[in-house]
Amino acid sequence: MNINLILNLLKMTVEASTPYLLITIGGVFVARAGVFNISLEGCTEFAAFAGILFGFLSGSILVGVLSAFLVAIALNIVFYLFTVKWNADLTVIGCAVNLLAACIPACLLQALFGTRSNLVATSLIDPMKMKVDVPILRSVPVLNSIFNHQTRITYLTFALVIFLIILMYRTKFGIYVRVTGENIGAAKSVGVKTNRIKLLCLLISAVTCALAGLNLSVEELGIYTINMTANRGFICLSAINCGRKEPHRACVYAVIFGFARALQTILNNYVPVAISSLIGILPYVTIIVALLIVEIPNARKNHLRIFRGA
Amino acid sequence: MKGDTFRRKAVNIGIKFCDIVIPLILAFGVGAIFSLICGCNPFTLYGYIIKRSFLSVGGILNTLGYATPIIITGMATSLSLKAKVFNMGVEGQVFVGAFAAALAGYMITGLPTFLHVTLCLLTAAAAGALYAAIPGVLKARLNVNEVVTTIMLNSIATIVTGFLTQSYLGTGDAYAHTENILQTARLVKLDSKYRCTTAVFIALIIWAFVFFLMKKTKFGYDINCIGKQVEFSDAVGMRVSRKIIWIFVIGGSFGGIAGATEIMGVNYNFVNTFSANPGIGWDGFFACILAGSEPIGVLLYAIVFGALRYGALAAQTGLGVPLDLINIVKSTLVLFMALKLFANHRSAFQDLLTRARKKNKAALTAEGEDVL
Repeated sequence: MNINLILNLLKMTVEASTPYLLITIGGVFVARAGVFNISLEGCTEFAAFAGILFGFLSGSILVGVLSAFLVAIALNIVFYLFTVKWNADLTVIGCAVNLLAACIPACLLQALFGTRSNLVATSLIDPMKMKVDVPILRSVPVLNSIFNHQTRITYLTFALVIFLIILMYRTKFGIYVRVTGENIGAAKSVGVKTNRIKLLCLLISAVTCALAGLNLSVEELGIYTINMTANRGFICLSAINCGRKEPHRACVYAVIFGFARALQTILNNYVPVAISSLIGILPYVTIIVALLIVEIPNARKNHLRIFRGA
Repeated sequence: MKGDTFRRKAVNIGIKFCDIVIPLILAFGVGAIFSLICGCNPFTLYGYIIKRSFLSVGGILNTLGYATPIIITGMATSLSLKAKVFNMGVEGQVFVGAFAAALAGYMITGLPTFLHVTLCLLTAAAAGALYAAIPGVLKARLNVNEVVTTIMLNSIATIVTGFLTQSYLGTGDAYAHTENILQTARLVKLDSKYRCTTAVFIALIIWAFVFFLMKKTKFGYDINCIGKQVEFSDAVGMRVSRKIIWIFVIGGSFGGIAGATEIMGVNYNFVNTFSANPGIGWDGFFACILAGSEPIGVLLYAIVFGALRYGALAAQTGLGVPLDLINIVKSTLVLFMALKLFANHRSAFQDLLTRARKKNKAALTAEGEDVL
């Protein structure tokens, strides 16, 4: 192990953690407000697709970015209407949204461009130019190679994570969110508009999912491929679960899972080709192990006669 | 009084009917929009699908062939959904079961046909059950969220089986697949030209078994109670965590069998893409959701899904419409069906009704007074 390799690994960790952190921090708000949202996956996928598609069609990155936000927000408003307003089952609607996210991009790509696998927009977007050079970091030796030359959304993510943690624990809105999730009756009785709180949380999550999708498709590659999200939504869901719905803890798990993903990418270069496809299970195994480690100390509490449902 | 109960029944049936028909219209409407985007007249498309999948003997056999694994996975899911446990890992269990059956199909030699087929099915069931036991135990003993674990295990199953076929068990061909299973391990096709095999009878047996289990046994009753009220079931002394493990294990073994029937009846070797877009486990899951995990509904929806799948494949070659279009119809159907607009929001409609009735009554009494 030489030092460059480790630095490279850490740099890739930051890269890989960005979408994880974004989806997680938005999802924490939704989870905290008592909405078990498994459509994070679909929302991110739609945003990634919309960013590239509309950017490609209009010839302007800005249009792509805006439409990604709009699509994600519209999707979560639909989710809000169906589940919170009209009381449909959360998991069922989430599943349906995820399936939609798997087939609508494929269908549209086939209809508009004749391929059902990917849409290359590198003529419009140069992924190399998306990396930002931060002058302050240039003189700091280790941090420079880890944190410099990342994308704009990566830097935005750090700010956003801190902002949202403060929003959760230091503001009235945060208290309302937590009360809504813990005891909706109590929240209602003191006059908190719980539906509106849930809607706001879903909107926060829509924005972060859109950022994550844009980071994946527009910033990193300039290409949209089918199933680009690759279970990131579910990975973030488990990060939220591992972190017991607390934003700072969930973010730590998001970074751990990002590290597993980066490790997988690095290891791919060092193992024989035959095994390299097996390395793909690394993030998933990490998550199951993490869930186990988190839940085992709680198992004793659950054994007190009463089985607690999810 | 009699008229009143009759009217209530009629209203109930009407509500159920509306809740099925209106989502269907909406879903096929959305499908029509996408079909227009793809440059195909929606009526031609839907007509073509119905014609190909239902209006000929071969079409029906193909439809049944596609529906067979969906029936099995649908029933596997319905057990867990009845208990409000979201076992989304049927897809992974299908992969594991199919892989096990493919291995048992060519590695074990020298058995008579019947024994070999049974052995393959049992291997697949055992593999699926073991794989499903992991999230089951995690859920029951440690209360780990089952949605997350099952989906992670799905990815692991796909990657590991793909890896094994590619590197160790492959035949070295351009695309990775295991060796063909022996003649003795194959399920017989009802008609050699079409997809339907004897597996359809296996599916029906499993369907009847789950139906019996859910409706007529204590276990089924317990499952129902757990689904309605976990804490209560636990408090009155049902062994909830043990039941949850059983639900996963039974569902997993069926998932394994579903994968095995695909390998033993249709593919004859394991290819990593045998269940894709969206996969037979997912199709079963959605059929189960649409039917509200009622066995008869699952059977019907599974056949409809089989028809849609076959029709969509036919339409892809015949009309050049992407296969994904039919998935859009499917998922919008789930979306609107989950709403249960009329059943859940009855009070609003009932208010309207009673108001109308009161008006009527008022008018009637007014008339009566006139007569008096």
